[in-house]
Amino acid sequence: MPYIFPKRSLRSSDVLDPIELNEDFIPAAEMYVGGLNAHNIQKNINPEIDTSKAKDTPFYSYKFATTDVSPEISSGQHPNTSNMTNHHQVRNDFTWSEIADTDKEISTGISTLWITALIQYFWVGFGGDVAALRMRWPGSGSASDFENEVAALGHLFSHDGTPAGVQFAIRVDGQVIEHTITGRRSPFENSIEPILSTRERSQDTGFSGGTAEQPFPGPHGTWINKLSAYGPEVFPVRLGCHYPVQPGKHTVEVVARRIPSYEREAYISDSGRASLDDDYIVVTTRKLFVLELKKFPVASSSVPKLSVPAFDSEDVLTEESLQTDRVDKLRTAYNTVKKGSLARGALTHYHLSSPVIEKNSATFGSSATATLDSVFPGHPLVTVNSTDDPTYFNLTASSSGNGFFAMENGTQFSVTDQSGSITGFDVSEDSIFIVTANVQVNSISAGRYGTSGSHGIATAENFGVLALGFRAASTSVSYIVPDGLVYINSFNTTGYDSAVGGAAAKSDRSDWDTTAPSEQNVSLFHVFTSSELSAITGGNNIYKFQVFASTMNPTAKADHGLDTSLKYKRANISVIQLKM
Amino acid sequence: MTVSTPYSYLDGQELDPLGHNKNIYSPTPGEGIMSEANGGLDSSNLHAGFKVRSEHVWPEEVCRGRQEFVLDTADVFSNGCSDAGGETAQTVAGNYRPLAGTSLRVYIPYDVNVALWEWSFFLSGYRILIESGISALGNRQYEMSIRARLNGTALPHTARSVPISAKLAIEDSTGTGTKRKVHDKIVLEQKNAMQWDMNHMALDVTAGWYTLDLTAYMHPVVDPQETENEGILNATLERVVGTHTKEFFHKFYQRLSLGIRNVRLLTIL
Repeated sequence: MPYIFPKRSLRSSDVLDPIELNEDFIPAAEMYVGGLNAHNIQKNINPEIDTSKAKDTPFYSYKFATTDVSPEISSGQHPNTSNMTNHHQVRNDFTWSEIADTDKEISTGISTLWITALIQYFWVGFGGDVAALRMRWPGSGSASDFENEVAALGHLFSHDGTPAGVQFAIRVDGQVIEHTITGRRSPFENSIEPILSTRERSQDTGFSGGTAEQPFPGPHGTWINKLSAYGPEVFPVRLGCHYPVQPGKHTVEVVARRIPSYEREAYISDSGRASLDDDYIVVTTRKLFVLELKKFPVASSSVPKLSVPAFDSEDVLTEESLQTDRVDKLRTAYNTVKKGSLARGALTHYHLSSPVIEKNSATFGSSATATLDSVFPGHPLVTVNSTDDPTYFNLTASSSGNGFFAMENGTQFSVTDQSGSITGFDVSEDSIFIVTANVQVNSISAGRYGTSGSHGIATAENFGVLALGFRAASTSVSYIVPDGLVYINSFNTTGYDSAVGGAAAKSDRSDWDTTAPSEQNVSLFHVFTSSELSAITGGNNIYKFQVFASTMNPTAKADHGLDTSLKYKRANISVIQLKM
Repeated sequence: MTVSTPYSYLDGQELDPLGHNKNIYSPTPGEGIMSEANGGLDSSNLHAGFKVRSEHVWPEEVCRGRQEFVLDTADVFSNGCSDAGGETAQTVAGNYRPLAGTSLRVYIPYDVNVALWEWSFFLSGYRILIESGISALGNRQYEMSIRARLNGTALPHTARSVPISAKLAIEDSTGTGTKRKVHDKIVLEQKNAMQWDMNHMALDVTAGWYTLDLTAYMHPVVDPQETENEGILNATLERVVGTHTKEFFHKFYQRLSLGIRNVRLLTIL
């Protein structure tokens, strides 16, 4: 409400007019019941916020769904759906469908939803007993050619350069949010190969030889197709958006679809069994976080009653009528302002304290390359104490040890609070920790193209595992939570023939001897609750959040004594601790 | 400040105008039922049980979200980039070029604790690696990388190389060391197509205009022995034209294609 001032100053000779007397009291009463606003309130009053509702504050509310699924990789065991539980199989029929357990219903006012999802997918078809499948290209090549190629490249369906062809998106209230689709707008759009003829016309060529030849306008260009969806066999997909919503209930989901792999020959097994049935994508660990940024909430508070009667002519001025019924009531009202006395939107940023309890960000921009070849033995090979105890993930202080290694490139990829205090992140206050990280991975490989060509070496079967973790303050114990793991692989594989060595002329494809690194950005994301962290650490505060990594290769180590190496450079990690 | 009314009205006593006026309005802090309401109310005026509720907060005064996006595909070619700086051209700041559809310019109206910039983009790169027995070409990768910048300042931790996707085997078919011929070519761009979601969190950000944009650098596909065509590699390549297969000279470039992309900003007081 606007500022109010007395319309006149009472003087000793004045006649007490009831209208003027009312104007001394009524404006103050009107302001109180009409709604105090930003003009009436001092800055920096930092009133306490209402946190009585779970996962809800006056500024935001949140929903978080997370499902942990192990891909069941271990020595001799490829990503294997037969051992997985709770994995989700993406439909192959080109339709968007919800990924199980990634839907959240949220009731809002007029708000913006900050949506972040992380989806880990695997394209089934790694390794395995290729010969037993007895598959071949129909009409071209032999079964053994196919088996050799698959064995060399490590994946049944991608060995010919076919991409995984999977897209993900966020869907709100049944509508796919187009700008969250992880791909191209047109699923069948091509791009030109950037090779330009130096000639304008293709002389001496044409539809036929002899005098009928007609020159074309330039030798034709070539197009590259299947560029509209994910190519790698394995990838952790983080996607998000800001999405404005109107009041009501809203359903937020993560959806996926498979782009048909056109211009592709079908696999036909010698036994007549069509093996395309085995060609599918599974989603393992997935999570969805929705933070409602409130704008115009539907909540309201009842206006408190304040009765300040007006004076009429011939009313008697008494201690009761002036003091008790008016001045005292108004004084008390202004000294005990209730929730309903504030107008909608009465408080602005200069009245409120930040809901951010702690925050920090660390960046690592070194152009040097770091390497680790620590080995994650996989879920089945370690003792799982309980599903609530994440300590079963072994940690190793060596970059080549057995377990997860804290990533570092000159400096450890970790973030403390801004003061660096060992007890920096207080878990005693009800809060959530939004942790994000990005790591530049340059390559994952075991050995090098051209040094050994056997199954499991320079193939798509080299896996990297990155994980978000944290270190407890007083115990100095680090933890990794199962649903904080993401997997990547050496997707950038090309044909290889171990029988042919390098030749200066480079006259044959089999002479390729340079590894094409699987450059990628690995996105990590997790939301921890303070109660969850407290339970894991036994009530300890958190010293720092950090990124761990390890590698897996179901066959290279066992068959060839080679460790899979993961090369990486840059990273950043951020933490926001929000009051709840 | 706590509201006080210094004057008491007592039955049987003459009304004191000055006292009454002070009860209504006074320049003395805390005095008068109209005074403190004029911008002087603070936490001492709140009810003991008062807690801020959502309807009390002016829209976007604590959390704000902003976003821009583009759906259409954009192809960016290496001839838009300079090779000034030679082999280390990617270290020359000005050589990075902004990518259409991956920028967000916003005004942050008040100081905030955190500003979380996020950007997602679907990309596929035609990035060339040459293997050759020709010493001038050797075994050479041509740089292709992306990097974000905030208010024009590069963010080194956001630099990422785009995967190599085109491998060219080039031979000298004449033995003179000058004529280049692409003997073989493997293109796996479709296998390297990905969406990357990245972020950068700025802390204790003051009010003002901010711009985040994603930039890219592609080294031109240069041949040190090429004296024409701005030094761009010129080699023969077999093409099928009509019923014929013929060799033509071609110039080689790199391409970075962007699919659906967006840039997002979350600020929290």
